[in-house]
Parts: sequence; structure tokens; C-alpha cells
Amino acid sequence: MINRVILIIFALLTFACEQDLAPISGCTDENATNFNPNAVTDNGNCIYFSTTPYTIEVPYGFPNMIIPQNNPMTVEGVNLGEKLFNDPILSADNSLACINCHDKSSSFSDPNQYSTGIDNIQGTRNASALVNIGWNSSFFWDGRSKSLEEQAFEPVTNPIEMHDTWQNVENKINANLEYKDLFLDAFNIDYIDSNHIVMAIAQFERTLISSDSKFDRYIRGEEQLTPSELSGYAIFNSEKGDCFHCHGSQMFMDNRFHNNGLDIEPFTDLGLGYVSGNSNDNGKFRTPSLRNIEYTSPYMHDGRFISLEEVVNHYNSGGNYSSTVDPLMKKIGIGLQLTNEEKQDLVSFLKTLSDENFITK
Amino acid sequence: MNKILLKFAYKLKKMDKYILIFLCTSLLFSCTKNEGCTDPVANNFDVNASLDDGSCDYNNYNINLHFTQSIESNALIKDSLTYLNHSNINYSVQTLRYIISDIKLHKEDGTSKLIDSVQFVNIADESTKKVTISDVTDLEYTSISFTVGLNDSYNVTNLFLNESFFPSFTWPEMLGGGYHYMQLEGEFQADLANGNPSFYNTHTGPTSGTDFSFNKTFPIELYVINNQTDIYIDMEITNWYKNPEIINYSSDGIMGNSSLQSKLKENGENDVFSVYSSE
Repeated sequence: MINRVILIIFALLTFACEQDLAPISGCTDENATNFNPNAVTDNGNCIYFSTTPYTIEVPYGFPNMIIPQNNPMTVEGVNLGEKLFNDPILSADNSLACINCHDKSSSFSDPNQYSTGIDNIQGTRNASALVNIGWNSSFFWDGRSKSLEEQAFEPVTNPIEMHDTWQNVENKINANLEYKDLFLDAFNIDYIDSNHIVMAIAQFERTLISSDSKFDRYIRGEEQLTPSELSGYAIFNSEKGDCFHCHGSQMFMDNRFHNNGLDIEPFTDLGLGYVSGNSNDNGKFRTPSLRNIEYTSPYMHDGRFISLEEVVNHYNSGGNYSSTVDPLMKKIGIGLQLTNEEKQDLVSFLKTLSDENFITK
Repeated sequence: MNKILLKFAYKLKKMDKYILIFLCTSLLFSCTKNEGCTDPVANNFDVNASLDDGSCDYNNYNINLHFTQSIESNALIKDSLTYLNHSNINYSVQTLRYIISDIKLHKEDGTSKLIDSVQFVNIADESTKKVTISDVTDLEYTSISFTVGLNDSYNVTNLFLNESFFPSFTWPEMLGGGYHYMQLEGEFQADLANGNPSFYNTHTGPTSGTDFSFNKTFPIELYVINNQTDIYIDMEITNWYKNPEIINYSSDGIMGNSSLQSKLKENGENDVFSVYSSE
């Protein structure tokens, strides 16, 4: 008797359900991109957002790359970032892209001493080379940005660079159907905001890795260095040349700031001191990587030297004393006293850091 | 043996249920008599307990390890060209970065506890000058030991790629490879009224692949306040340059100079380091 009653109740319940909800079927999974909140029966057609992970191959002798947790590397993000990097849509008059001042053939730096913005105004510093910057712990010569994402915000609105506004850039990019699709694929977003624009650019910049120079091939035992290059390598790594304290390891930089004795006080450009507000930091600038240094002329934060010979001559002459000059410039006023041959050897070695594939492929 | 067990099991089966229950209860009762905390270090150590019941209650202490730097027993003031060395030369300290490794606390019974395997100290970064070791269950330590620098087994090129002292502490392969032990840099000047100062770079490390690191051991007595205890490892900077070997400031690099590295090691082992704990 009881069993029969239960059966009837179940049958009734089932019938009631079918009557009410049978017409609405669709994707019932909230995590799907086509989730239908009104659907009760799942039709098995849920579509999920997925990206292809982009794997960074860490070169020999490098630490793990600094990648923010909220911006993992994806193939979709990197490709989108490259498109944005090359697109003048980021500038107010759609005339200037990142690539224009970070020229690939110059290892993504500007061969001109100062870059020229859309209003024909020039800055006061040389555009940095973008090579292995995924390992940099700060950006700009004065280190004022702490991540690539943060860095990418700046040139777009800088009046002497792209001179745009982020609202205007967002409007332009949201009106572009191709970008709508690409941002949906990379980040699963319908409205494209500035955060996701810089995230894509940062992802692309992290892929600018150079580790196949003649020097790398020498370290891997695949190629020999000439006697002049080997002599330069020895000078570089001896305390006579003492290049390695700032440009050491396979990264050829130290992620630190130094005053390398370029100028006497008062400094026209305070560098790190302007950012930190600490006068002990005046005249200090970020150590650049020496990778692809042959391609990144002119040199120093203000692009004052055209050739590597001039750079070597600066250190060989000892530089200028000032209250913040780095103690590592221990031959200040005396100089390294390298012979002409040794100076030439040092330049020869520096040129072994050139990675032709990096600037052509 | 098996036969005996089988016989016993058979007998048990035949036994009355009540007898079995009585037996079990009495067993339990007899056990509880001797259960308790059997660890003498715990707060509730029970001398009568013979079986640990997991009830031991420990104090959790924090050991604060401080790395301090002094000149003539006073705290170092960075970038101040007001100090005088053994031969009355003015000098300052601008950069002081060093590695202390394999820091261990020891008990009288010969057991020890590793509290910090590699510590990079940079006077420009306060966060590197203090380490807190938490959840230490007892403080019956009577001595502390550490290595100044990195010994041969640690000092291997590319072993510390993800540490904060990479890449700036890299010691080039052709000078021996691995990492610096210390970068002590600053200005020196005989006559402050005459010209600009010069720079000295006292960089110690594995010159030519030789291990110049050294170990130090000091007795300690730990004082506990609010479950915290403080240990200070102090570097007397002046003593690197005297006692017993006199070392003068020079603008020449010393990374390839084995004789100077050896003298610095001798001075370092002598009286550069001291350890004290706060009362």
C-alpha cells in the first residue's frame, strides 16, 4: 500500500516538472561562455573559454622569469600583444606605435638619441632596448615602473609620446571588431579595458628573449671565440676591466642602479633620485643588459655615446667623481688604463653578445 | 607456534562473552594508568606516563636573528666619511652586502637545529637584517654556529639563480666561479681637504676556486620575553683590516689576490664577528 502511494507521488512530481520546464534547455554550467541562466536541462552544448599556454624557455644561467599571477602567458595573449605593439591605434592621431621607437632591428630600441612623439616633441632619454626584460625587476632608466604591465600604461598618455587618453584608446579598440574577437579569445572579456591592453602587451614583451648569440654558442661548446674576443672576455671578467659587477652573469645586468661617473654635480637628470626622492640616489640609472649591445646604439640613458668605442673610452678614462658615484667605479679619475688593443678586444667581445635571429626573425 | 595460537583462539571462542568483556575493560583500565605526555620538553610532561597519548603541550617560541654591523662598537652609519682606520685614513662604508650560511643552534647533548641555510644581508635593505624563526618548541640551546660566506659545496655557479643576491653577487667563472661572500665598499681619503676621495672594494670570495669561507661558533644563553628570543650576529667592520693582519685601503681589486683573501679570512676568523642575546 505504502509503496504504491510513493510511486504515484513520484510519477506526479516527474510529470509536473516536465510540464513546467521541458521547453527550456541549453547550457546549464555557469563556467561556460554560453551559460543560459534560464535553462534547466543541459543540452550538452556548453562552450568553455580556454587558452593555449605559452611556455617560456628559461635560458641557461637565467633565473625564473617574473610573471604576475594574474597575467599568465598564453599564445592568444602574446599574439594580441604583438599586434597592439605594432599598431598606431594606441596614439592619439593613429600615427605612432610602440615599434616605432622600439625598432626591432635595433633590438627594440631607438637608433635616434631621443624619440620623437606625435606632436614632434622629443624626450630627454634614449628609448631602452627590449631584450630579456621579463627578468627585469624595474622599468625605465629611473626604475619608476615595477612591472611591464605598469610600464605599458605610460607611453600611451605621455604628452611627448603617444599623447592619447586611455578612454579614447578603449573607445577605438572596442569599436574594432577584430580586437573584440581577439580580446574575447585571449581574456574572455566583452568590454576591452586598459588593464587588458597592457596585459597583452606585457605578455608579448616577455617573449622577447635573446639567448642565441655567438657567446651563448661558445658557452654551449658549439662555437669558438677568436683570440681577440677571448681576450675581451677575460678583461670583462677581471677586476682590471671590472664590467661584471654590474653586467654579470648570463643576463649581463644586475637589476640595480648605479652612477657610473658620467657627470659632475649638479646633475641635469636625477634619475633614480627623482623617483625615490633620496638625494643619495641622484645620478643613478638602471644597468641595461649588454645583450645585443651592438644593435642598440646610441648608449647611456641619454644616448650620449654613438659607438661602443666611446663607451669603453668613458670607463677607460675613469669617469667623473661625484658624491653618488658608485664605489665600483674604483678607478675614478685614474681610469682602467687599457691599451688600445685591449679596448678593441673588449669591443670585440661585446659584439659576441649579438643575436642576429632576435632582430631578424 | 601456529598451533598454539589456534588453540588459544579456540579457547577464546568457547569462553563466555562476559568474561571477554571483563578482560578487555581491565586491559583498557590498566593502560590509562600510564598514559600521558612522555616528552620531557613539553609543559605537561608526566614523569609517570609510559605511553604517549599525544597530549603534549609545547610552547612555541620565535627566534629573532639580527644581523648588525658596527665600527668601534657603535652601530655603523652608512655613507659617512668620518671614520678613521688603523693608520688614520678617513673612510666610509657605502655598500655592505654579505652572506652568512648554515646557521645552526646546538644543544649540550650534541643535537643541533638548522635555522637558516643561506642569509644574504644588505645594509641598504632592512628586511635582510632580521630573520624570524617561528614555532621553535624549546630553547635549550647552548651555542650557535655559522659559516661566513658559502663553503665549497654551496658555492657553485648557478646554484642560487633565484636568490635575491643573484646576479649581483656572481663571482666570475674565470676567477673561481660561484658567488661573492662579501662586498664591502666605500670611500677613503688621507686628507679630506685635498682632492676627491678614492674607492676601496673589499670583495671576498672563492679566489681561484679556493674555499676562503670560515666557520664560527659562539656560546649563547637565550632570554625569553613573551615567547620571543633575540640573537644578534654582529660584524665589527674595522677588524677586517687589522688583528692580526694589517690591510690598507687600496683602489685595486682583490678578487684575484689569494694572499689578501687569506689575510682577510684570518682577520675574519679572529675577531670580526661576535654573538650576543638580549636580556
